[in-house]
Amino acid sequence: MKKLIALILSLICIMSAISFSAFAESNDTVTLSDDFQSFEYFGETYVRINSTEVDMNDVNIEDGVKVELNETQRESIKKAEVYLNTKKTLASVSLTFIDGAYFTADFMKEDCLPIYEKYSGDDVEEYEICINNIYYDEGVATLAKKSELRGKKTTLTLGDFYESSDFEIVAGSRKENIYFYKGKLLIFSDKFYFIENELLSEEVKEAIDYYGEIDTSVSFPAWEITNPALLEKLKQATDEYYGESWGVYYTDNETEIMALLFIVSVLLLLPIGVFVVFLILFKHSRKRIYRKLCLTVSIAAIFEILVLISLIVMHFVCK
Amino acid sequence: MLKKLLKYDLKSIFKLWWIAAAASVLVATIAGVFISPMINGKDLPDFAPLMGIFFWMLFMMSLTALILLSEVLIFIRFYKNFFSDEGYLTFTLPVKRSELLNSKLISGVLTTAASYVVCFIDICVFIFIVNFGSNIETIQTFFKIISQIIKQLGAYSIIYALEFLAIAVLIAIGSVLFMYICITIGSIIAKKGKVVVAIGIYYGVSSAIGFSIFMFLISLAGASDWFPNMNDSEEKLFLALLFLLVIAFIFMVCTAVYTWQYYLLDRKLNLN
Repeated sequence: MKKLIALILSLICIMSAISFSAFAESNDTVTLSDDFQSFEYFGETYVRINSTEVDMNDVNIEDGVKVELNETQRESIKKAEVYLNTKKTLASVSLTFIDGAYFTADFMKEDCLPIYEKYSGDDVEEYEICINNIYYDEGVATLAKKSELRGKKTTLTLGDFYESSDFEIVAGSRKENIYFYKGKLLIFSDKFYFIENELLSEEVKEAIDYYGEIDTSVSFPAWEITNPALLEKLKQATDEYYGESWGVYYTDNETEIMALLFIVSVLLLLPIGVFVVFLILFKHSRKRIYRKLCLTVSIAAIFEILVLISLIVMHFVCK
Repeated sequence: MLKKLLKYDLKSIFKLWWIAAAASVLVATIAGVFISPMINGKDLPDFAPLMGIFFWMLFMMSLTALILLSEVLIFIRFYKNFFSDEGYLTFTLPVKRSELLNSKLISGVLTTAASYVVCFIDICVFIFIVNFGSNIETIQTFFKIISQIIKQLGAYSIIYALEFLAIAVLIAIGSVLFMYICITIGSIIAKKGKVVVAIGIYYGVSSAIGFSIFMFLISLAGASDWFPNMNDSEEKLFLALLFLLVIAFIFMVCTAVYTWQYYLLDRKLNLN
């Protein structure tokens, strides 16, 4: 029994040390640093995108239809915000319309593979962040000034949005299992370039060539978003397509808590139960082999609990 | 004594197993040869696509058959050796019960591992033949992706590889132990039709476990939102700990099942 206690104590020390080392290294906000290296991702080199170089026909898949916000449409938007590099999202765009309708699109960090490429100019340094969604091969690229990407929340106000040249929501064909909801394009002159990846556009074009005519019944020109019912329809359809549980559009807190409870009950309560049962068996068994086996099970259960605790500690420390 | 027991267990299982393994490699080769022209877009007769589908199905069936056959052979060896008439002889051998169980466990794990290795070889052979000559870039890209991932992970790639290996070994041990405990329970509780009861328990419990794992994975996916926001090194450490948690959990379950299995063989054995 003394050996068991000694072992448990030493395990606690090791786990605590690991947790504290993680705590010591943790950084709450900054995820982008100065030491970015140029990145070649699976043979693809990402190129810088300037607003002057953007050809809408290259990024718009809806039969070349270009959606631009006219003055009236722009006035229907009360507030436009772009958050870069927040705790959960790499990029988040939210639009609030005058009639109260609200639209938001997030690119969650855990769903994206951030790829950084450094550009060094004479007087200004800019970064392009290409995001590839690992599940759906979606991609967007964000180009921003270095100073704006230092882990700070960057908010664009209505005034900034007036400077934008285009806003776009693209719909594909859900029926044919190609992109239903692709993303959005926000170009802010001299501020942000939030643009779909050119590579993605090529893929989508190929898909269109393959499948022929696209079902455009779920297309949303930008000005129709002011209609709350349509907005709801878009959200529902998006949830159906991606599945609510896959994080990108995950907003249901209750389901999240249920999931957490289920995981904890399996990973925490089960080992505790096993530990208690086998400890009792250990106490009552006289044969040496049973004592050995019960001890092994108990140690394994305790070890599992300790690893779980260290993960939970790390989770809260780094949140 | 364990070595001798293991030798006879492996002999008994591999007597039939190697034929299935050789057949699956042969099928993989033939399927690769027939499917290759279709992938590489050569001039083909009209019935070629049908042939391609046929050989593809044959290839998939050979893989499934090898895995299934391994399971069946492990099942038969354990049941016959412990719970049929042969059991009287087995349990009168001058060896410990733990050695008998360990021998069965090791042979079962080795057979399972060998089956998966052969399946992997089959897939490699198939891919190599299909891509040979024209689509060599596909293979190059695969290795490029692997090297890119290793480059990104750095030293953690070794830790992750070891953890994956540990998880694979533990899953193999767990699956064999699970089969054995089902056979043992079936043989203890049933007076007639022990095999049927054992198979029933096996499928019933494995369905329940499968459902639980499914629910667990769904929960994990649902809980993706509370995955912590960390920098690169923290994230790697977190992931390594997460895999360690999985290892500890499976190890705990395996040792608990082993203890139970040993207890049943030691105290509750019924060779009627």
